[in-house]
Amino acid sequence: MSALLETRSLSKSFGGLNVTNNVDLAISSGDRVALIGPNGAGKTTLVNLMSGALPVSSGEVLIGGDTVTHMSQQDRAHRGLIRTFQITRLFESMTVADILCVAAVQKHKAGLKLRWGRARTDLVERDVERVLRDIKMQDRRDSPVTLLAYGEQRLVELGVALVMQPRVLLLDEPAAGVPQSESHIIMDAIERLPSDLGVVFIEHDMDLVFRFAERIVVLVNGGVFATGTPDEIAANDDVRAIYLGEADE
Amino acid sequence: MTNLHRSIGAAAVIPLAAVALALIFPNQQAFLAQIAITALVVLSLDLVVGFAGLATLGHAAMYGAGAYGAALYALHVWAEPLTGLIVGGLAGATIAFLSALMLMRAHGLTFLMMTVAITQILYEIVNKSRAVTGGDDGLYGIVMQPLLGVFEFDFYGRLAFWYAAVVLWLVFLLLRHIVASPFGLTARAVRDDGDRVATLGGNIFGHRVALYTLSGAIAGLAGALSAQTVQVVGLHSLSVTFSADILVMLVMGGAGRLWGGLLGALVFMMIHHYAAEIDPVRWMLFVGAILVVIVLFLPKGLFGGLEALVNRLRGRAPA
Ligand SMILES: Nc1ncnc2c1ncn2[C@@H]1O[C@H](COP(=O)(O)OP(=O)(O)OP(=O)(O)O)[C@@H](O)[C@H]1O
Ligand SMILES: [Mg+2]
Repeated sequence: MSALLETRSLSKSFGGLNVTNNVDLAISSGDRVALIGPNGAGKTTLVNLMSGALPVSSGEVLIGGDTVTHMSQQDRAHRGLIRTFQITRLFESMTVADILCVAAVQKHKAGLKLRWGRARTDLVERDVERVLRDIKMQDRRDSPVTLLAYGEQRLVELGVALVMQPRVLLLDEPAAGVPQSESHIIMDAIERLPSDLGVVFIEHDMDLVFRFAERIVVLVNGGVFATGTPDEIAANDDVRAIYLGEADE
Repeated sequence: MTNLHRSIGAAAVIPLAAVALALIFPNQQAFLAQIAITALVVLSLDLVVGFAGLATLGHAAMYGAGAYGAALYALHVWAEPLTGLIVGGLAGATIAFLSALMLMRAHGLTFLMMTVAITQILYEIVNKSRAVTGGDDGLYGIVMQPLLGVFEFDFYGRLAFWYAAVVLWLVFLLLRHIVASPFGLTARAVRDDGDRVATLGGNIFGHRVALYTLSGAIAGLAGALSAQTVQVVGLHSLSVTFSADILVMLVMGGAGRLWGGLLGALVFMMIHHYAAEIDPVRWMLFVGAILVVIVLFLPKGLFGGLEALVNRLRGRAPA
């Protein structure tokens, strides 16, 4: 069976700066992959290339075995690839429920519909209520998103992805900026994700990484520096020297 | 107040205002018709400016297309008003759709400049096609058949006013419905962050084209109403100047709320009417001064200011 998401010798440079170097990755159904690496290693750029936010310089991206290298973000989303943003990007004129509703409407391909219709309303409402429960924000339903604490906004950012019920989910530091006391809500929601979903998870907090990941990919200077199980990575002296050591400082 | 009550209340505002205006200004119905028609085109502009978040100086292209379309139809095909109205709407929608294919990948200043360019091009085409459009003389001698086969257009503009007011009212109700629909919700999302909607699978380009075309259709209706009730169509209806005027009205009233456009058109037209009577040369200065005051002190326009005032009064004396 082909991987849900695959990159083949994926490279990206900005001017003379190589930010992604020959990355080969394969995410299969049920994978829980943590993507780690120092600041500026190219983690977000890799997500941007996979999701179609940035054009590649060379190499290929495949979803479910089909080449999508030159497809739009929109088409990749329809193929079940959804990503979140390291810096929250929510529709700032809206309430929490409206934002989730926008996602649900896109998921049901109803963005051009001029009326809700009963079935649609049910589907959309069900998605919104499900996710509000998942991220424990039922009581924030009608709050304008700009009035929420940043930690809560991170939850909504995750919630948008949860509405979409993707096949592959790319989470760019979902817990960044969330107070320690609330990061468990995010981790719980992530751990409750359907088991057949492929998840890539960027995170700097090693406790969260080791708790979540079955496989860890270490990115350094845009290239895959090491990959392995959490135990293998923890035991890898080179990784400790380059990445973990640095993070401990 | 329940949502239902609120919707019914909102739906009654335009008819009540129309009756009130007709009672207050019994001898000025042709002018009132102008206000209703202008309110309609400002309403259509709000879809582009308020709901899509795109600043345009080219909205007259669609209004003018509707006006010329309806005028030519009445002169050469059939002088029946309602089919003429549809022709005007289609003309506006067609121009909007074709220009949207070029416009909707552009943003900001590029978009603004392209709206100006398209309008100028259309203006010149119509200006040069004298045989069909009358060039800078425009089209005149438009005589409409009775509305619904019964109601004659009168010299005082009574029918014109009620005709325009009813069309405005119906379009307003339609737009309120659309704004609350999945399409309307997506429009707000696209305005806030279109790229983000794309990451969720939304078709941003298609959405923008659809919204612009809808807006163009409504502007075309307004143009057609103008052609049918004023019985003259001139190049001004296709001009960047007119585009700027209606943008001023929208900003005065407050963009993005539908109500603001209505209020802006009403206030602007009233000021225009009376200030121009007092000082035909310098009235525009007066409008400019008012606009500056509004932009500085009421960032959400007259309607936003009114709303804030009502909320404050309510807060002080809860009902
Ligand atoms: N649009 C761009 N143009 C030029 N350089 C860029 C661009 N985007 C990213 N870079 C550069 O690419 C490198 C990788 O950035 P990226 O954001 O992918 O790193 P990251 O691993 O996500 O870092 P962090 O952990 O801080 O989020 C950085 O040096 C950054 O400055
Ligand atoms: Mg990053």
